[in-house]
Amino acid sequence: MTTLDNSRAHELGGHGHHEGSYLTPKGGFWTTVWDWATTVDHKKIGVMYLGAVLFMFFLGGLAALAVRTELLDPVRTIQVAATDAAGKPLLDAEGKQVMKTEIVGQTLARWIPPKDEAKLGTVDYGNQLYNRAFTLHGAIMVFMVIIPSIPASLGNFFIPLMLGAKDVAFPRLNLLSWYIYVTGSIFAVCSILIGGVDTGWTFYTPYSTTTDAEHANVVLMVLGAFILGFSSILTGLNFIVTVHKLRAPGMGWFDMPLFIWAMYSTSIIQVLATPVIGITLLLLVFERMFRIGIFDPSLGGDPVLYQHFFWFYSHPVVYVMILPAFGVISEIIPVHSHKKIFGYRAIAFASLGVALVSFLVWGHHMFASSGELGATVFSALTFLVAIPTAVKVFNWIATLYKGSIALTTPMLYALMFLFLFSIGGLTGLPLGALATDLHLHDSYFVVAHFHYVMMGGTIITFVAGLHHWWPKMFGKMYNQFWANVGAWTVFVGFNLTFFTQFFLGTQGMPRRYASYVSEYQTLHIWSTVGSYVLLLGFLIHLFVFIHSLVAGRKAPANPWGGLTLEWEAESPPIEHNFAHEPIVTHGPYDFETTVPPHWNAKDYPLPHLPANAH
Amino acid sequence: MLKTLTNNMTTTLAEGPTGWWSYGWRWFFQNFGVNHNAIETDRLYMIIFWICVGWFIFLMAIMMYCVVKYRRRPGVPAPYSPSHNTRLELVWTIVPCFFLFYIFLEGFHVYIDKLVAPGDSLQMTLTAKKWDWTITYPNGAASPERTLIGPDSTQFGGINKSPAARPVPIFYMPGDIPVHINMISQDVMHSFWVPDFRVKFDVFPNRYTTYWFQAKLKDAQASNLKDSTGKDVVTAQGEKVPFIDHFIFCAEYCGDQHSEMLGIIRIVPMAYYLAKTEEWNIEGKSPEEIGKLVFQSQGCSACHTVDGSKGAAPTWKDLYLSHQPTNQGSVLADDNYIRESIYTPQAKLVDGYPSNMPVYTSAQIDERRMQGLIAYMKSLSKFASSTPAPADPAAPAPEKK
Repeated sequence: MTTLDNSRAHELGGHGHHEGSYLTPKGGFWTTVWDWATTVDHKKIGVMYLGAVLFMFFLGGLAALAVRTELLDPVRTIQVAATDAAGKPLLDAEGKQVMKTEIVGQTLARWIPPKDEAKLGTVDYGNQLYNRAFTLHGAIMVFMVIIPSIPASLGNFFIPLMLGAKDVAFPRLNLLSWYIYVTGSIFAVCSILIGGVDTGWTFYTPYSTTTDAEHANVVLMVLGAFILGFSSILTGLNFIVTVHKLRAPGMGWFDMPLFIWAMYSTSIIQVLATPVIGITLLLLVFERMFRIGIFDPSLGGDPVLYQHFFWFYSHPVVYVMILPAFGVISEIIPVHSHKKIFGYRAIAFASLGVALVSFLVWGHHMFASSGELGATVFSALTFLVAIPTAVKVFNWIATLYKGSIALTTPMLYALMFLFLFSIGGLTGLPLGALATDLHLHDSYFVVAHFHYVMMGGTIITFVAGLHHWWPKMFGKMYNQFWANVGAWTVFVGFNLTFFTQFFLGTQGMPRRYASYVSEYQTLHIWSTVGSYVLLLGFLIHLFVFIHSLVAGRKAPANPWGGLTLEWEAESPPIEHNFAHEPIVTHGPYDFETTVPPHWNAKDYPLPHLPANAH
Repeated sequence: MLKTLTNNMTTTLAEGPTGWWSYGWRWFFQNFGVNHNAIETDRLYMIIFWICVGWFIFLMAIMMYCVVKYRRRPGVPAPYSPSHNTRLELVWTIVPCFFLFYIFLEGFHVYIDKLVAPGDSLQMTLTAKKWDWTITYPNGAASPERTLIGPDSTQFGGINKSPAARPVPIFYMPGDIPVHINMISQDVMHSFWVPDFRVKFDVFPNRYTTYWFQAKLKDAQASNLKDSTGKDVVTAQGEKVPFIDHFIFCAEYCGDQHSEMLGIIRIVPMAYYLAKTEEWNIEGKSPEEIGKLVFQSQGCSACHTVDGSKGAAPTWKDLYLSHQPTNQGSVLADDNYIRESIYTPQAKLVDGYPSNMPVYTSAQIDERRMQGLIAYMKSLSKFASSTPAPADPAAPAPEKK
């Protein structure tokens, strides 16, 4: 167990150059700002990504609340008593009350009145606002929040630390990719400021090539997504090289933490699939601006071609979103149960397997498009993807067996992930089966399904990872009680919001509807109430984090007893991560044979090993 | 699927689904047994549902058991246990495969049923445009009937107390016979979904897709068709007309009024269906009558009114031969202007209205129907009488209002 010395080396003297943490300001305010703006330190870039992603999450969340609020009440025209300017009932010549038609149920239109007088009080105007809100929500959450969330923030911060490296392989490229991300986001925000986009985040042609023809909104938004793609590619490339070249001495491929495996698989998909969406989005911009005729049938193009291109990227990207979440869960569950992960190699290969098969299933987004036999092949391949995913869930649950489970906030979230992701995964089955998909496709069932997977999977895990690594990132503990209260609130709000939508879907509620027939209203009200509870939960987390930064007690270097290398570093880590290059002598999950760094054998008694162990 | 429908549907529920899988189907589907494919879809859905429930409870029970049983006790280490077991891992990889393969096969099987229409189906065509559906019957007629769907509608398809934005088309279809629809869009993509039939297919602007269904019509299931005064509709033979309504939703996002792009499929007896389509056949009708049918069946009435009230587009009352302010200056609304506005609507836009009039082709509105529309507009305009005689001498004398 000589490795314990890695972390202690500089305390005991060692080479003895004492460095401050990476958070220590370099001077006055502007010096510090300049230092952060030009930093090549992966930790600072990770924190900057975290800030940017959380800001975009706030924007996307606002749009989601707008969508849910609009859906509280179906749009309808009613006859109401007309009044004159003084507010008195208006009577006609015979003394009868004059009635006028009024539209009710358009909350957004009440809040944001139209600039154009002619649009006042029309169904179209309220619907346009709604269509912009859901497009905004989808585009921001997918391109600017979920895709970069775990890889760019937690990945940037922890991949080098977990590998025992000083930084990523290409630090300057890393900074560049952050600026590209910010540029892309600015494009998107500009597009919102000049009126927003009403295409849906999928930008399906020929709607997207013809809507708002005289405005630049759609072009700006699509270019924003195009630019964000480069950020994704560069980050992926950087991580692949980092994993290949910068592992600490003694760390073979199968000694890597599973988070690294997941990020490695993610990066491969990002590098291979993102160029396809880049080309597709660029073609879409050309189509709009120069009318070249690739996707628009009125010019001789084919709209289904666009769907194939789009989903060839966007399906693998579903796994760009979920694989990092798998990685985070594979870290949290063993650490907080002090238990070796069950089936390490199965999980690692399942990550790669998912990455591979993810390229072959894009057609399942188009079962209702054509009615071709080709759909059968895509359906079969879709079920194939379920197997490695199911294997992972079994492995995580098996890891809990005979563990020492502490219900810390990250662990609570990890267990909630298992609950929500299981629902998300299982409800994928009726969507993968051809016959049922023809009914459920483009209904609220799909909306509920992908929120269980994307939000219940990725966002919940992102928050879990944030709580897991927060002490390491900022050197402060947070109030666990209130963090747990926040977690339960999020859990209740989430299920209320999205479980109701499964029933809406099977009963026939189509997605992207600004209004609906009143039979669906009860379920919509429950769903909207759930979204407000969800907001409350996230606000609790926000206050817990702010309180932690301001008044949290200092975090120990290894609060949970983790064995991966980042726990050997200080909290927060010094600028070069480790005083000495760490040497790996134990596996990332050898909780039965290793006292965690910074812990002593009295607090962490090792179990008795049977003779046939390992 | 609708509260308003379930009143009519009580007997359907009585002959509801059977089998172990059917427990709980009412949580998901409010209407059952519309046709064979819908029954098969619900059966598959409920089987998948119960498989999922089983797996979910199994997994969560183990998880909760572990969390409680192996909770952390200070000073007590987690006991040793193996972290790998090839036999167990093989089992939990292979067992789910059987479930998945079964679901895939069943899904494929019912899918083929939904895809392939019987050879003796009734052939129709459907045109979708922003934001309306038109179905053309085998004899070339199209349904001019529309209804307002209001959230508070007391009788679906009947009298509405609280109308929504605009009326939606009603398509009469014969019951207990396969109907096969060839679908095409005029602008962007749409998707034709009748939730009660459990099938949707996308509608493209550049290729045909097809849709087929065979809806049940049993007298016991249906209520009787009533006219606008609430009296029973009676056929020439003196029989009441049973009917069942099904909603049509557009399921592919298509813009501002995507959520208002609805329709109704009304299943009626074959004899009544034939009588209706014959009634709407334009053969042997005067141009004005033809124009009125076209006005209602081609979706004009969705935006244009004929009583002078404000709609989403200029009213047709007193439009003919009036002077319209447009973005090309003031224009006399004569025959040629009307023709141009139907075939190339963007050429001149009347001030104060959005440019969302769909383009019609001469295949949809042929010369005869065009003449009909013009004749119909003449009949609505007070300016028409002061003009020279129209080109079509068969047109009736314009009515003064």
